[in-house]
Amino acid sequence: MRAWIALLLAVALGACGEELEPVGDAPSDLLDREPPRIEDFAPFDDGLPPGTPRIGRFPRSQFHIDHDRFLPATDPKTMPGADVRFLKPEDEVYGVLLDGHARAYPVRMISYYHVVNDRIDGVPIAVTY
Amino acid sequence: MICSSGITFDPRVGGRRLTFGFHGIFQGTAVLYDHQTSSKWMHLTGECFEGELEGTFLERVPTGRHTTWADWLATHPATDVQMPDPQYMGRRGDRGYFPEAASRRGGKHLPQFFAETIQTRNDQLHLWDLVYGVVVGKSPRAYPFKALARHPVVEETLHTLPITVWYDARSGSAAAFDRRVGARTLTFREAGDGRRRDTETKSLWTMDGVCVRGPLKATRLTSVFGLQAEWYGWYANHPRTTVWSP
Repeated sequence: MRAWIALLLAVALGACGEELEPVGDAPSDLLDREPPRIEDFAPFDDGLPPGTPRIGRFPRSQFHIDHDRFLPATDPKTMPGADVRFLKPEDEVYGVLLDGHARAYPVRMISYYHVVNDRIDGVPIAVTY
Repeated sequence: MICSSGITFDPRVGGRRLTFGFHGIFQGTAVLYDHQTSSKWMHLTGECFEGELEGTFLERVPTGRHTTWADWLATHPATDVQMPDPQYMGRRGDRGYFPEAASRRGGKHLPQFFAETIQTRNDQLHLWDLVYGVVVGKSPRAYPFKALARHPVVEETLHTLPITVWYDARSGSAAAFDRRVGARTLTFREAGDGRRRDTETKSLWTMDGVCVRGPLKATRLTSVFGLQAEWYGWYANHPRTTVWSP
């Protein structure tokens, strides 16, 4: 709760030069720093002929299902880039240009949402990560 | 990381706007579902592989790119930015974004349960090497960032389409364009400050393919769809890919 209030404050104070604390309380399973071993990967090139639908031939057991583990952002609020204080110059963003309208999605946010169901000037887009 | 790929799709299928949610992981990349039909989609290709919409491909919007905040703001002073959503963060019991280290592109942060979903692997490049993947027609082609760092302008013709692939080392940003303007096919050179100059008219172009100075001022190059990805994710989703080398 405290973190939540702190964050609200940080957002509210964003225009006054306060920075968001750049460390989140991300779930530990997704912060697993152990790189996988080579033998964790299936060691083959499936060499499919052109046009073969590729997904259907893999059994569902090969999927890692975690339905709604992350919730998408839908029609999120935006703010003018000139007022943003929660990004550092070197922070990575994913930028989209639609008919000259530029919008930036901070990668630290979209890597969490995985999906932003958005609109730019009324035109629907789906930004996925 | 988890493939490091931002992609923009047109979510309209059959006149209806689909909205998507997270379903799982396959080939080390996200599997999405749509809230309208519960069909399942591959995030990297926009292919629906299960459900009512199976066989549908979402159209990709080619004008997105990864870069640094400093570069994006300098190139687009009028940009807006997605705001952090305190409600989301409160509901999830976390802050809705990852610590910087965990979302760094090219980082080796793949949990084992991700690795186990990768069914198609190729060791031509290191699994974590970043590539810029371009699809022209049905031919995927990967441009390794390491090679692009030494060759920040690549010009090729794929399926008769003359393209140029650009890389800006300062921001680690890549983009691809059709290099035809009217009847001309342009050739480009790096011009410093994240810009390119075409040799035909000496006009200056931004990394978004917009001409900002010279005879072609205000002209836009047509974007060619591309995305940044770690090699494992690009390859697993495009096993017929070729790899560019100098």
